[in-house]
Amino acid sequence: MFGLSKKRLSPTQRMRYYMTLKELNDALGFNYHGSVLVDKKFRVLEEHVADTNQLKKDLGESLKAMLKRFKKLEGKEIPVGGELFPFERLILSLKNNFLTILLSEHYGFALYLGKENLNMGTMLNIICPKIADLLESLENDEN
Amino acid sequence: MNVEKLQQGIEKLKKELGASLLATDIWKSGVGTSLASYNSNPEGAALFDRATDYLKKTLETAGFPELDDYYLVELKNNKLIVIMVFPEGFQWGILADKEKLNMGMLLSIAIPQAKKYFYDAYQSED
Repeated sequence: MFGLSKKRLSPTQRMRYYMTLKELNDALGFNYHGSVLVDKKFRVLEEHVADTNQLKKDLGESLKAMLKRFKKLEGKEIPVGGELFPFERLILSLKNNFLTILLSEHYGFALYLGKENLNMGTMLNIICPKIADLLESLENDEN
Repeated sequence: MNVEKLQQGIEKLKKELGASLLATDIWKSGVGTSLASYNSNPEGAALFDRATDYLKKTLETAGFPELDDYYLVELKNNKLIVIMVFPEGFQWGILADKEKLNMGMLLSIAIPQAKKYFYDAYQSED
């Protein structure tokens, strides 16, 4: 594929990644289309595209490109009430799909999913916390 | 665009979201200056106007479907930004305190109501 560097995740980290992936698949079913985990230099650590996904053959590459661009966007600080708030998470409601991007200090995760019978509440309350937990556990391993 | 009706929409939003609503602005895309607001944040409106444009172009370049009606940005310090994007060339940004926010109220009631107010204002003359 494109620069896979799976050796960067330890066996424990990979196990956590695959456990999260399974949870996401269980929660999303056919709505799960694909996801990419990158390191802070946007090297792809893991990617997974649903076998049945015919929507985008280059989904992994596209998700990686989105992550990279989102990081650039993150560099801009938003003045709100005199304070500066950095970005942490972005959820895009697209035509028929959601695209979710979560960033932590050393990692980024992009998830592409279908919208059928899936609402933003599920995204925020079930899906995002699973990814956030994964990133937090990966960060803990970094420290 | 009937600005008075937009402001009515903002008043309704304030009632629905209560203390969780920190600020809101409605602006014309590509211009970024606020037409109606509560605790207006001109820098935020200008920045998110550019951010929306950037996201749209990025989605197109990466071959994703186009942006639908809104996107959410979660910030550190428990703040949430919602940007509603109207194909008529306007955007409505909401800054909320996540600790005080009822997400169901925001997603199922406040956003649909805000859209209704927007279109009511859009279809009316000043």
